Amino acid sequence: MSDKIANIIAALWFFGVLIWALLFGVFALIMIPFSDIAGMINSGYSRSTEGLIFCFLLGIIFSLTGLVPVLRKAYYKLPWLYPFTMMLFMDLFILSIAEMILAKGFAIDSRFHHVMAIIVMSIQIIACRIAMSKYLKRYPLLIHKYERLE
Amino acid sequence: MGNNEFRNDSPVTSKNNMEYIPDIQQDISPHRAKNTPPFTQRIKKGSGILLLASIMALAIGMMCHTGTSVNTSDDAQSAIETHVSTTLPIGARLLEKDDHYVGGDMTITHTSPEKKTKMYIWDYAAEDGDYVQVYIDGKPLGSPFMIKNKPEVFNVPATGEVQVVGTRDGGGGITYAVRYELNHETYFNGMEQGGNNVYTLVRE
Repeated sequence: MSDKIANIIAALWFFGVLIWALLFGVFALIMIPFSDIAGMINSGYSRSTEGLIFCFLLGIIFSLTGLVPVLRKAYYKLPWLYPFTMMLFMDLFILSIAEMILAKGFAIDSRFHHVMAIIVMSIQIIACRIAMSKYLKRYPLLIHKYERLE
Repeated sequence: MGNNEFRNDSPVTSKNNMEYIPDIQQDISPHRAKNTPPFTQRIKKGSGILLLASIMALAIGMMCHTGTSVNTSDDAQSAIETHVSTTLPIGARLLEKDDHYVGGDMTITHTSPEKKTKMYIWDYAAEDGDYVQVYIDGKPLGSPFMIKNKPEVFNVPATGEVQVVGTRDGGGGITYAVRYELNHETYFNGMEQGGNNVYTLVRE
């Protein structure tokens, strides 16, 4: 009986919260570079940034899913979900910081500030992606080779 | 998530050529927490790190966030009507959205003996990407910049002409407030893109 209740809670969390958070995260991951960052570079003007707030909200949802045993069932049922959420968060975090750097630089309408903002943003993205790659090489998110799902 | 979780067990192929995942019990070493599968341990650890990263994202976001909430006090309501206030704090936000307000030039008479004074300038409505440039007696004081709810501070002469030019309208007109330290008065002004307001500072 308690298993059934736990399954219902897990399903409600997955279909009511987690899947929307994932869709929203993917949407944000597309919109930040192709709308916000490209928009600022094309127009030459800054805009308000919300990427880090999205990161916070998604991070809370994903971490709750991992930390609460009942909600964690989603990660067992869908083996790709845990690596997917982790990488989604990492990518979103990197892009949100990049967006913030660009918005700061473009808040002053001068060529020097614009060029500097683009350079700093590019360095940040490359450095963070290298760090992410090194981290994932050392601690791969693959599970199927050595672990069994519950 | 550590290296010690990796084993040399290679995946075994079953009869139907599907990849077989070794039994979890075989993968638990005596040094591990009691009966906690490594996958679970890794999720817990990863989620803990994710939680910390989320809090860090919130902290960075809060530090860089310049938006403020709308002031709904009686003083703010009065300032919306008169466009002047001596009581509202620096950085007060009066409106949720820009209201296409077009103000005018002002002459500010004061008795301050100081040669210079601080001028605060901010967006008193939405942070929608309005840009202005400040000129002192016809000379630009830096590049155009985006006005936000958080005030920018300039040192300007206590006498002379301070011109605020609207270089870009992010939507709804350029709404901005200026406050001079020499008389502690805030002027809630506005203009269209390309327009300007001149503040003539005169010592009595």
